[in-house]
Amino acid sequence: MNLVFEKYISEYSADLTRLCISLCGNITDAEDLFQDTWYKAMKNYTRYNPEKSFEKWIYSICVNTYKDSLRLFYNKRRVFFKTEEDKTDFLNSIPDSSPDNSEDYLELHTAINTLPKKQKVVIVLYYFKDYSLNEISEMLNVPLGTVKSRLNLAKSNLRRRLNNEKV
Amino acid sequence: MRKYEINDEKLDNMLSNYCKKSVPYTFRVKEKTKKEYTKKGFRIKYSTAAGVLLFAFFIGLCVNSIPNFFSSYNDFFIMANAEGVPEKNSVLQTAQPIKIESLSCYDYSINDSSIEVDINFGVCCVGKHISEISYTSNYSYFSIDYLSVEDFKISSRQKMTLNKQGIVCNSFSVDYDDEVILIANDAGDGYPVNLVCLFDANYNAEAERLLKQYKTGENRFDTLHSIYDMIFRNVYVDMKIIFDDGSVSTKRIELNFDEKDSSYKTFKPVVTATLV
Repeated sequence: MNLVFEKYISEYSADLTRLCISLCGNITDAEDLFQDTWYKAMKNYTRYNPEKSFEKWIYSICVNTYKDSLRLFYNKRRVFFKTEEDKTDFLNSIPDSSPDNSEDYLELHTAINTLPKKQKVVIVLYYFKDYSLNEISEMLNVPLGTVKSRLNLAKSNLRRRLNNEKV
Repeated sequence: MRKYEINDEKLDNMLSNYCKKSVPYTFRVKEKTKKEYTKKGFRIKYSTAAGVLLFAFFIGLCVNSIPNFFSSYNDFFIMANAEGVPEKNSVLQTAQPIKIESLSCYDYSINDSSIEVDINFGVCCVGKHISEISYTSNYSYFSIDYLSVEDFKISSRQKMTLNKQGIVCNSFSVDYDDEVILIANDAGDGYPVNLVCLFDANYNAEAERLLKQYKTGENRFDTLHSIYDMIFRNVYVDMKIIFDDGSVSTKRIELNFDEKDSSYKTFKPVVTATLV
C-alpha cells in the first residue's frame, strides 16, 4: 500500500468512524462497515480521480457499501446499547444532550435506526457534514428530486415517531 | 410522556447534534484488511457469501424457479413507459398545453412494512410558465408527505431558462389528507417530476397480507403481481396546473399495471400512465 493511501487513512479514519457509527447505530457493525469501506477503497483506488475530493469518494463508498449490504449484515442487530455505560457514553457524546432531553435523543436514535435505509443514508449525510442536496445527489448517484423527497420523508417519519403519531 | 411537541426546528437541531456527536475513539484499519488487499484475494466472508449464492442459484436452476430467486432481492430496477408519449429530453411541439413527457418507474424497494416506488415523469407545456401544480389522488394505501412549493420555485425558474421551447415544471404541492403521496421535483433531464409513492401496508389489511406472503417467499412472482395490481390498478392523479398568467388547467393521469407485458423471464412489470 502506498504512502499516499496511508496518509488518507490517517486523515479520514476519525470522520469515517463517526459516519459508520451514525449509519449502523452500533459499534460492532460500524467497525465491519469501516473495514469493508477501506478494503473497497484500496481495491478501487486506481479508479479514484485525484482532482475530486477524496472525502466524498470515501464517504460514497461507505454509504453505498452500507446500502448494498444492509439486508445481509448491518441491519441485523436491534440492540444498540449493551450496557448502561454504553448508553451514558452515547448521550455524553451528543453536544446538546442534558438530563432534560436525554430521552429525546434516545428516541431519536431508535427512530433513525428504524428508518428505511434510503432515507437513513440521506439524513445522515445531510446532517453529518452539512452536505448540500446536490452533493448528496452526486454521492449517491440519484436524482436531486429523489434526494429531496427522501430527506423530507425521513424527517416527516422521524417527527411523527418522536411525537407518537401514526407513522 | 413528553409534554411538548418536536417541531421542525427542534428536529433539525436534534439531528444536527446527533449526527455531529463526538466519538471518543477511532477505528483502525486492521492489518488483516490491508493484507487481504495486498493478496488481492477474496475474504472468507465474501467467498462464503458468493459460494452460498452460487449454490442457491444452482438449486434455483434445478427447480426452474429463477424468477422467484431473483425476487428475493429487495431492490431491483424496472422501467415503464407511458403509451404514445415522446422520449425523454424531447421538446414538445404541440398545441396541447400539457403533456406527460415520459414516465419511468425506476426504483423500487420493499421495506419492513412498506413498498416504496419512485416514479419520475415530466410535465411540459408550450408557451406558458407554470407557477404551481397541486394534485389529488384516489389512491388510499399510500402515506402522504410533501415538500414545500417554495422549495421548488427557484429551481423551476432555473429549469425554465434551460428549456426555451418546452417549459418544464419543477414545482409540486400536495393537498390531500392522509392519502398519497410525496411529490418532489427533479432537476434531472427529462424527468422533472419525481413521484414517490409509499405503499404502506399498515394502512390496509390486504396489503399487509400480501406483503407477509411476499416475505415468506411463497408464490413470490404472483404475489408481486397482486401487489402491483393493487398499487397501480385504476389509480389516478388529478393534476391542477396554475400558470403565471393566472390561467388554470387540470389533467388526470391514470396509472395502470400492465400485466400482459410483464413476464417471468424478464421480471419487469410495466406501469403505464395515460393522460385522460
